[in-house]
Amino acid sequence: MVRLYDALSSVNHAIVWARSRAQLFDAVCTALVDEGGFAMAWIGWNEPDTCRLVPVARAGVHGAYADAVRVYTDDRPEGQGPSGRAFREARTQVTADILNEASSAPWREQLAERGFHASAAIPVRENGVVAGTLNVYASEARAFRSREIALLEEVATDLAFGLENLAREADRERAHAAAEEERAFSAAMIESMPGIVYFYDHTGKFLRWNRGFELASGYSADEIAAMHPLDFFRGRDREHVAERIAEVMAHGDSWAEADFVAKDGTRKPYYFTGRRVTWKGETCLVGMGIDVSEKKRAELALRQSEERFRTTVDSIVEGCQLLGFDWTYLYMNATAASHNRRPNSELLGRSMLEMWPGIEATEVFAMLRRSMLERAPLHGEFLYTFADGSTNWFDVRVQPVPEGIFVLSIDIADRKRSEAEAAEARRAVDRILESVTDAFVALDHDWCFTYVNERAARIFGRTREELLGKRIWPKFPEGVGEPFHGAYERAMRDRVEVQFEAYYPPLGAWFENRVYPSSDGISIVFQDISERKRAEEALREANATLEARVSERTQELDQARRFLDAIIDHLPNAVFYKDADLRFLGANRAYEQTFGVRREDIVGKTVLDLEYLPEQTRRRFQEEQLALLATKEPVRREASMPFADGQEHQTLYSVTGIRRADGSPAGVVGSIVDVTPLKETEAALERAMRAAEAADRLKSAFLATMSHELRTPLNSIIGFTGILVQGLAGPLNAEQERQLGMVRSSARHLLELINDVLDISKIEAGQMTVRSEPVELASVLERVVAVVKPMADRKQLALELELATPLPPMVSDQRRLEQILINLLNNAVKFTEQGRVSLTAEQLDPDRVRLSVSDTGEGIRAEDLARLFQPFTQVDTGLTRKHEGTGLGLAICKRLTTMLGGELQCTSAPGQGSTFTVVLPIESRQS
Amino acid sequence: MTLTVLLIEDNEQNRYLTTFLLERNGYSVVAAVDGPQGIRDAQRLRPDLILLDIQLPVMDGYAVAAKLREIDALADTPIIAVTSYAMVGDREKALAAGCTGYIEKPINPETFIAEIERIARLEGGAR
Repeated sequence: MVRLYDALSSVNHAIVWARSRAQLFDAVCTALVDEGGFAMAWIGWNEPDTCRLVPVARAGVHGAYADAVRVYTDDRPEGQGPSGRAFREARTQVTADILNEASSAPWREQLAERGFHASAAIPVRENGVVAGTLNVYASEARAFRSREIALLEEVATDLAFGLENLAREADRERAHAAAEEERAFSAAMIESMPGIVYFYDHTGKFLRWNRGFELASGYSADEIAAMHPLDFFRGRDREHVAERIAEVMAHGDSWAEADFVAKDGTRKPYYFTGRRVTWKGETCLVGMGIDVSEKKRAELALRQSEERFRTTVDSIVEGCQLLGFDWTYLYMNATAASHNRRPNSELLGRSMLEMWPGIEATEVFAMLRRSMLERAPLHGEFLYTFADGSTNWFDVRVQPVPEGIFVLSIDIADRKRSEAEAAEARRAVDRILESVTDAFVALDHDWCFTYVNERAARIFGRTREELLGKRIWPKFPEGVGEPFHGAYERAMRDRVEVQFEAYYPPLGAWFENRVYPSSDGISIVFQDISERKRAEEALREANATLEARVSERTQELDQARRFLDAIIDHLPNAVFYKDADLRFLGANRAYEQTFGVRREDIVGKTVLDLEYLPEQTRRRFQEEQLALLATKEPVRREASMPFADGQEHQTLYSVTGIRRADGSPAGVVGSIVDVTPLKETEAALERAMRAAEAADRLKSAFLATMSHELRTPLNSIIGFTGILVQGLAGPLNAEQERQLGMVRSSARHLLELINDVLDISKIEAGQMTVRSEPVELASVLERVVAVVKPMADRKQLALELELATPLPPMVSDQRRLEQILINLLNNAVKFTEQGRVSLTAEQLDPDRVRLSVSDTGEGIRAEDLARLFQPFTQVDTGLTRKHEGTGLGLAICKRLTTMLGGELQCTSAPGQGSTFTVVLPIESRQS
Repeated sequence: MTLTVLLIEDNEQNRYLTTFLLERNGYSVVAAVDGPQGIRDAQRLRPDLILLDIQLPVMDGYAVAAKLREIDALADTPIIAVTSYAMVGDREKALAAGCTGYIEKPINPETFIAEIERIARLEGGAR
């Protein structure tokens, strides 16, 4: 069994280290044979096509057996063995004695040859489905008992777990590779951009750039990383570029033309565009620069022919204007003046923006700006509103030129008018025009084809002759009931345009259809859009996959968040959370109940707005929380506040700050725990405690008083008797002396009684304390023996002290120890009529000493031993009582011994004497 | 020379008993019935020993001991508490209040004198 556990442990290790299924399978087989002690183990994996359990791992001297035999998972004879059955029935199959098992027939010879006598086949699952079997063989029959089987099944479970792990690992790797591919793709995209691409933060620190940037600048990556964007410019360009960068940061985008200075000092004109982006919370600039040297050369050439250009343009009937990059009018022809309704002299050399206030908001300007920035030729028609409110239509064409843009304007007011007139007529024509490239058919009111264009015929796969003059539905019976049918009917009946997309199954294609009512019936324009549909579908699927992936992750996060929300919401204590402005973001259900408010009503408010709290409380909370945001010190204190029940509650109020990853305050979260019931219990407890303490003090005072009141007269009695007996007050006769002796003896007994009662009361009240002081045991023993000696002498008893071993120094309470020993010795002397009393001391072990008081007295009956240490018990009771005593002595001794950390016991038998044994720790701790 | 003992004790019989024992042993005894009187007598007489009952009217023995110790001239005078108090800490309280020693009542007339002489380190009254 131990070996099997070792094997299990090896399998568990393999799950951790195995990097492939093959490794895992091998490890399992090897562990079972090498450590588990089985003769052979192999794993067969079902091959679904052939239903064969293909060996994927084997171990043991006769491991080749797995490959020598053919085992199947279906019910052919080679599938009736334990492995096949284990697979099919999904449960372990044990064969106690294989050689005598009918189902082993196909393999009997092979098994016998290798000395296998017992086998177990355990199904192995993958993703919850049995996918193979673990097959183990032993050289003795009946080797597989229930514990072995349980462990082997555990191995199979672990193996399944390991397979899942590997699959997960593979998934993770695939996901990682996909992410890496995406990242590489983005990187490649940047690299493949024309010109130079760069990305820097608001301080001008380059965060990313393409290889082109390094090539164009001649600087290495390390050098660029340490440079500032303006380091690539000289002279006036620097200021210009700096301005444009500022513009990007302020307005979102801008452009600049400047000479880019390389490391070797060469300059090349570049056209830069920049866009502001926020990345990781920081404002950054992503920009691109294009070498415009080529263009500049063209510009030069152009400049040379400027004169020619001017003369040509001046004569053009369209308005011509040349605008510089700063929107300055550089050139205008005569027509432009009439379009602008302003003399050219007024505008030339001035900025367009300045001359036409408000122009920036117009559509035409938007187009000019776009052309200027994107360097693209653009064209549009605009209804321009002049300052005096009049309007006119212009056709505006804009062409980017080296100086800026060239704007060509044509007055199209006339055309627009005629256009409007012709619009209605043209619409019908337009429809037909539009349809020229599409398939087109016309149907009359009787649903007969009156026109079929070439394309339509081709799509239908019929000749026009076949269709013309024929009714549509008998020719296309498959269309009846399809969307086409309904749409055509609607257009025909309701005389409305109908547009729709539909799939036409007989052709296996999607069509976009437009159906127009016409004077004779309907016209149908349609187009095969299957290609587009497929692309759309592919895109949709791609999006769905992406979305699924994103939503999976989102869902996980969402679930985690919802889980936390649910926890917070179900917390029994009021919880609230606020943003960094201390405005409520929310609160849980308990908060709502506590204060009788709804969350919706407090969200967005600060505590100062909460009318259900007293103003002073609100102010204090607000101040505390402000301080908390500043100092990060959580607030935690007791606070009293009114709840919805109208009662003032004692609460434990705590607020903690929440910080963002960068350490800035994100808000606060607070909780209010009602401790009123606790406080009440606390108060009640305190009252009870005070009462108990008072009672206890009263008791102590009573004991002290009683002790005092009883001792004061006893002091006189004992004192004066003593004086008289000593003859200090004069001589006494024999009888007087005898009687006074009796008075003194009674008085002493009374005193003993008082002392004992006081002692036992103190012990019971827990008022008796013991000290821990160094005690020299030998001298204590001598002293107590000396105290009892006179009494023993009087009874003519031998009193012996025996020190059996050297005695160690002790830490105990000397006075109490003496009290115990004197009491025991007194008792022994008292109850012994003849013989001896002995006190024996010895070290019992390194920690304890044993002190025994033995006598040769009358002994104690077994039934009396049990109640020997009860207070007010004297064994020799009733009328026969012949010994004076309070009956408290042994009870006190027992309790004192316990307080000193020791034990007091008595062994005795009638007529055999008694032995009281005190075992004490050498070092007693105060109890 | 005769040593003077100031006895501060409110119980008349006990006062008589202690006085009898002390005088029998050659001491000169001045008795006071309460604390204030005891303090006045102590200041006036500068006794060689003060025996002080703890359970006293007006002002208890601990307070009296403390007061006596405040008097410079009595700083070294032995003060022995003689008390029937026998609760936890009585001895400690007495010593803390300034007493030199502590004898529990009832006293044993046979050993009493020897005990006070041992505590006070006195040579004995008139012997």
